[in-house]
Amino acid sequence: MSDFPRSSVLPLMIHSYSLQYSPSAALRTTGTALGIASATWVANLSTFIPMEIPFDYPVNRVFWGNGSSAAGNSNMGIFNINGKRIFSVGSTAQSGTNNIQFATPGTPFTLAAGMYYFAFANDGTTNRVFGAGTSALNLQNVGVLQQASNLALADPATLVTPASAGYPVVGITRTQANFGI
Amino acid sequence: MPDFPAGRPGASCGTLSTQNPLQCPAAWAALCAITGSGAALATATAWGTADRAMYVPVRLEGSGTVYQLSVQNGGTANGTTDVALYNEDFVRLVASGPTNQAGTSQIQLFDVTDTQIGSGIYFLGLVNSGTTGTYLGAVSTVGRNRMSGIVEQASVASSTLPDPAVPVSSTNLFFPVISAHFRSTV
Repeated sequence: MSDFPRSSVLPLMIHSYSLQYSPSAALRTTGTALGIASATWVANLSTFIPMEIPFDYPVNRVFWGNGSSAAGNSNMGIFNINGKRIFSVGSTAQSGTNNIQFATPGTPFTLAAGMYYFAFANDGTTNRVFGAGTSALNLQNVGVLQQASNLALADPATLVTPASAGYPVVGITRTQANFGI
Repeated sequence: MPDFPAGRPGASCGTLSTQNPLQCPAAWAALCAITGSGAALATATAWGTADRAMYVPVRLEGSGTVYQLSVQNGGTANGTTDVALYNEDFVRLVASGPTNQAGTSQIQLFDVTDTQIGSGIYFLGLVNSGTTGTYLGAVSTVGRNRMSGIVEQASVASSTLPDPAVPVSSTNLFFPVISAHFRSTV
């Protein structure tokens, strides 16, 4: 029997700010806002956000958030808890500011119930990402890990304790491009 | 006896609402972003664009019968309000029909056809025929609305939420409190 209770109601989207599946609630309890706005990044830093998904989930698109400067490249990936890469988009030019950017996997796939890392990387700095400037200590408290100089989201990941601030919007959705979101 | 959803304890509390972070990702995003002890969905905002409909996704674990729909009006009541419940395919399940926005700084209830719903993803829709009527909700951003699954539809005919809805990406900087009640007495 699975360790994860199944639900018949699949959310439209699962991301790093999802109340039930991400560390966002734990981060919010620091007593300050967990902002969702333009934020600064460390060039080529990759971050790995632990996610708990209690059901099999079809991944038809992935997404991340761009800050007020979309002049660089981002990458989004999904890794298992041992750092093995399951999927990555590959380096993708940013498009759209202060908004969500979607990418469609070449072959849609289903993520089995379990624990994963949603990974994100960007090659720029000032206002490149959409998320929060959460401190490295708070990230460490909730299990976020990082890998420097890793825009490519190498497989396997070499996961280390976070040294840099930053908590981005990164996620997956079962909706397709014609859904309207 | 009213039907209370049989889902996770505390998850529904008699309503399906854009105000409940356990049901509505947009509400949780608003709560994340608010600073200090401020309230996340406590700002009355003018509708802004006549006949622009908004659809806010909510998730119900369990089942129940919807007896009433509601919004919370701000300090200005203007034009007509139409509020509706849609399923995930944007089929309209029940609606108030255009009704004069009435009452300021209070809940406006709409006694709709009793409609039983099961667990699933739903959209709570709202449109106002004018621009100045205000509704309580959360100040948001385009990015936050989109990552929360909020969509919208411009220029709906006759100020009426259509069936089916044909939504596009949200460009709004706000989302309203909309609730479906599993009790006839609210």
